[in-house]
Amino acid sequence: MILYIAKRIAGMIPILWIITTCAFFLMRFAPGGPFDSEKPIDAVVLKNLEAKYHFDKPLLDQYVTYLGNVIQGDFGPSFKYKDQTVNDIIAASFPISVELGCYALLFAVLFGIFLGCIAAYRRNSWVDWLLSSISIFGMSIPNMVLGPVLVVVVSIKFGWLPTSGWHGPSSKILPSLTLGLTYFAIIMRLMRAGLLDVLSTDYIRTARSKGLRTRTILFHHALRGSLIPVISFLGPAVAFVITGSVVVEQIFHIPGMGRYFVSGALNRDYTTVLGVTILLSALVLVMNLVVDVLYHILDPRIRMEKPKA
Amino acid sequence: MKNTSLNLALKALFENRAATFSAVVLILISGLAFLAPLISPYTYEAQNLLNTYAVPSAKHWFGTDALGRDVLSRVIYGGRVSMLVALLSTLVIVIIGTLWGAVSGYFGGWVDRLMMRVVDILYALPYMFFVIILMMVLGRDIFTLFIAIGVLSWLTMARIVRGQILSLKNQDFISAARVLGSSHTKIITKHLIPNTLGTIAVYATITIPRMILLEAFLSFLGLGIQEPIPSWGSLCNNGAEALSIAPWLIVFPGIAMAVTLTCFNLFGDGLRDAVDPHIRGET
Repeated sequence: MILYIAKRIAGMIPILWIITTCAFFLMRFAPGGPFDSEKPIDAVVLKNLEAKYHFDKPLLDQYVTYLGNVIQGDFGPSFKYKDQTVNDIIAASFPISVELGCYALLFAVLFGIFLGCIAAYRRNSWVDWLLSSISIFGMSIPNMVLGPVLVVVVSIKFGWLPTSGWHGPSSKILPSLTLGLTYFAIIMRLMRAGLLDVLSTDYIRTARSKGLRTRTILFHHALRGSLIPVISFLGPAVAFVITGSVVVEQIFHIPGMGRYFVSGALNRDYTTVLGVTILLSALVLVMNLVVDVLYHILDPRIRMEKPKA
Repeated sequence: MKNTSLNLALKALFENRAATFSAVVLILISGLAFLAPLISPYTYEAQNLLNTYAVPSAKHWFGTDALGRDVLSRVIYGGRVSMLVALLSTLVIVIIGTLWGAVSGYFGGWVDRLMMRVVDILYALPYMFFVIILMMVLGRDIFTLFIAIGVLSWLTMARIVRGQILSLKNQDFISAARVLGSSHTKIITKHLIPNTLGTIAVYATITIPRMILLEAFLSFLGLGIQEPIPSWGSLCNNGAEALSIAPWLIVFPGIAMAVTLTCFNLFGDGLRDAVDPHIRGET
């Protein structure tokens, strides 16, 4: 197990290197630069700026320097926020994004599993029908629509919760719901299907023929096996939550990493975009590994010989 | 009745009431969207600065926006842009994914290992971020948008097609074609790919709503379609900005998008069950 994890972590390094390289060179081919502004900058100032950020050196030299710094954990200075380094920006915004993502996933997983079980337990009843409809709509309402509608109804009309920001628990409810709803809907659906699959297997029939109560069978025997599709969805879900949080942070004006990424992309702030991309890639890779390990714990039949990445 | 398996699939599809209903709604929505210049009461850019933020009325069913433009017309035109981007990027995905998967599965051996390794590595990328970076590089218009989306989204398609090819390529009719001296290209394009079309159609149907969402995501952030051309994503973006004064600006494009996505999801589910109950929608 430990060997497997070590192997997987070693495999991440070349992938991260490829990501860094692709992103670095792609961005340099983008038209426009970080020092473009409404009025033309004085040639001497521009030259000094370029010298300060080493833009006057050949691209390959810049790349080697950048790579060296990244290996030491230094993402360089931000081009737009002049007195901040990318490390400062990440240190301030990353915890906020992680918090938001965790709340959203927690909501999605807890409610998804619970309501998915209920739908399977009361299969083909009106409860099941209602929950399935909620799930279809949950998957079809984009968060860029859901978020503003929630703000209009809950915050503006009734004034129950703050419209934006990230201060105190009450401001965190709407963003987490907005971000989590789609994944809640998908998990509920997976859970229901997974449970119904497991309920038709032989070991459940054995348990039933022993005369156990349906509820005991459901929660003690079937739940563990039926969690597998949910767990395997969690890997991609983390990646989706990361991209989704970009939109949610925009809607609710939350100072997370997504906002810096978008403004960085719009302003050609190369170092910020690169730093955020590298960090989030690493996060996605690590989460995929965590999911595979969880998989193994839940279902020992799944062998861990062939790492995927 | 030429192709019985096709007829069986169609029969199963039409017996699914939700899927049939969704198909009808989708045809209606696409019809509205593609006939936009004939149907919409105003053009998408006609401004009337004397009539900004007008509430929905008989004259402007969906109200007007910050520049006095008719929201109904913009939702119709926006649907056209969103659908067009989604369809074209799905087309790019189908072409690249099918060819990649077919070549990889058909030749096997080191070719297969190399090509699938590339897919594995690309899978690990935080792909949204690369779409955004590509948009920075290529500039923001409709055509670069669907190319940027399509070029990075074909991976699952390639895997699905490869799986199908692997199970087909050892069947007798392929051996027969080979014995008769057909070239590799001919075997792949004339014999293998036509036999995977059902699966490809199912996956393409699931892909279209994802592409609508993706376009909306980019345009909402201001990284996609540029003003004054509307798309559902950029309309939602305008609406989110004017939320407290003019909620109809987000409600109508939001409803249009939610209805379209629901119908695509229901239709995709129905098609999947009809064509092949074994494929599970990979997200």
